[in-house]
Amino acid sequence: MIFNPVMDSELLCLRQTSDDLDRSHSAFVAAAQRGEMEEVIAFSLHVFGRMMHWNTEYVQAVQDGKRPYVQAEQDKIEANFRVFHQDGLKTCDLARRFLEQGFELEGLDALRRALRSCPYVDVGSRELIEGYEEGLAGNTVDGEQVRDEIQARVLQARGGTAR
Amino acid sequence: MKYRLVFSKRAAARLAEFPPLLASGIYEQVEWVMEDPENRGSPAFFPHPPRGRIHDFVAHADGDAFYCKIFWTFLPDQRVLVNAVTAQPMAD
Repeated sequence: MIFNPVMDSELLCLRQTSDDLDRSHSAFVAAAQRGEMEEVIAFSLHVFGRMMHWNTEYVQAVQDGKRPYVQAEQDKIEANFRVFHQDGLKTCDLARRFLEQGFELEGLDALRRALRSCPYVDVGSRELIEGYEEGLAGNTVDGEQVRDEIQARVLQARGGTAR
Repeated sequence: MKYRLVFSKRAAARLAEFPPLLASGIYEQVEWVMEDPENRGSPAFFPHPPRGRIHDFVAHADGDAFYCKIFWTFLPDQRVLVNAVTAQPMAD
């Protein structure tokens, strides 16, 4: 097992998916050895999507009062995720270096194709990843501009005059 | 610590697609997050450091309820990037 669970039986999803991730990890290593960037990134996103899911489940259980909030437990989860995700981190660092070295089209295109082929990343995660890539590339809009545009639209909708 | 707020063009475009009242409701939540972004939302592991965060909430517009999420990440130079916003109509 590449994942060493420290959680109790309430977080069954961790164990249920660990075998799945083991298989994916084997595929990841093989793809990395073959230099298949797309597969490697897809694996990284797969793990990321799973971790998002686990984390959401955990936070929800705490919010619902089904389990107490224990800082040490949260720290353990985070530490395990970091270890578990180290291959993914390397992958995404590689993708980012791709971008930083000017291979923007290659890097972004590989990422986009990986996103399309990765069933485990939900819509929100895709938005997050793609939005973050935009942010890194400097494709941003100032928050005050966004606020002003929304206010103008609300005013228009209410029959007022937009600035 | 005071942060400067920026949106990814994707997130800004998404807000522009939403009905005005919904977009306004989501922006109000963004402002709430910005009051103390370090302590808002649930942590979300993101393949680049530093980690991102998610704040989810229900917004109402024209009598309809939407389940919304704001995703954001801390950037250098004391900026907070809103990577993405999502809104899904809630089932009755």
